[in-house]
Amino acid sequence: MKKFTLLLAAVSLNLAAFVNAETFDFKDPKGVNNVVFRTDAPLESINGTATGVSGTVEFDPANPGSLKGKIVVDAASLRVPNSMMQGHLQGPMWLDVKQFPEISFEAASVDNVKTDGNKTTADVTGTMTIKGVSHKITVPVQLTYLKDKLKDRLPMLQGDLLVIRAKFTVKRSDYGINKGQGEDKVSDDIALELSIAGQSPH
Amino acid sequence: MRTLLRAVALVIVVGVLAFWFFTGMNRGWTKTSVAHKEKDPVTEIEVDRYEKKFVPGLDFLAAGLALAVLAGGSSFLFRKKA
Repeated sequence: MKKFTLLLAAVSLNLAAFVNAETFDFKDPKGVNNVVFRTDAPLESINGTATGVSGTVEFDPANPGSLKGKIVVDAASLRVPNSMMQGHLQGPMWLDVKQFPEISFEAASVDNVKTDGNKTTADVTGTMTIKGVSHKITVPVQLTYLKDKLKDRLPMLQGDLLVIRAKFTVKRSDYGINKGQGEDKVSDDIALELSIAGQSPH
Repeated sequence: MRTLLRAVALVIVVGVLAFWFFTGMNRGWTKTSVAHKEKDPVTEIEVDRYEKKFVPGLDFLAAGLALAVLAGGSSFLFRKKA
């Protein structure tokens, strides 16, 4: 009976943790969510911004380590300041956005969770998919939980915001992006900087 | 014809240099749009907003000067009038 009571308590705790998790939608009506990419090239580095961000994340402020979810970036939303360069970037040699319209990251596990006030830092391990090629990577992220701040952005809604920031590097050769070509001109390393906010209305 | 081609070459050199100089002497690639930062006051997320603007870079300068060299060089294909 005692064992059964303990089991019931454990299940209840787990359920409570699940119930407290909020689902944040990262499709931003203001179009501010963005991923910046930077890679070295002759003359100057190539910088671009993608704003077509969507996806959902489940986050419990009382248990940040339980975070899970998937962020998707519309590859065709990637912009660079030169239209010819943009054409190349979205073409078959580079991202091939017609055949592979999505870049995604799906979180699987969270480690090294540290919380200070409304800010949490953690290492999130998950599956990164670019140009149809998936790799397991670990990304250091910073989460900022903004309780009841949704109305400050969208006055018609009540709810919370979750801001996710991450900086990490991927190798384009790992994802078959113009693999082995022009690495003397354009670096194999692509630095990515994610700045996104999700909303959880209630 | 020789004089005309050399005059054209000179106009191209001056024009290209002046255009590059007065549009900010961009020492990178030519840009067809320019990004400016916008910050969301609640989330403090910064995003680049692009507006269409032509900013010539070193590639534009090189192409212009190459065209001038071509025009000036081809003037030597014509003989001086006797």
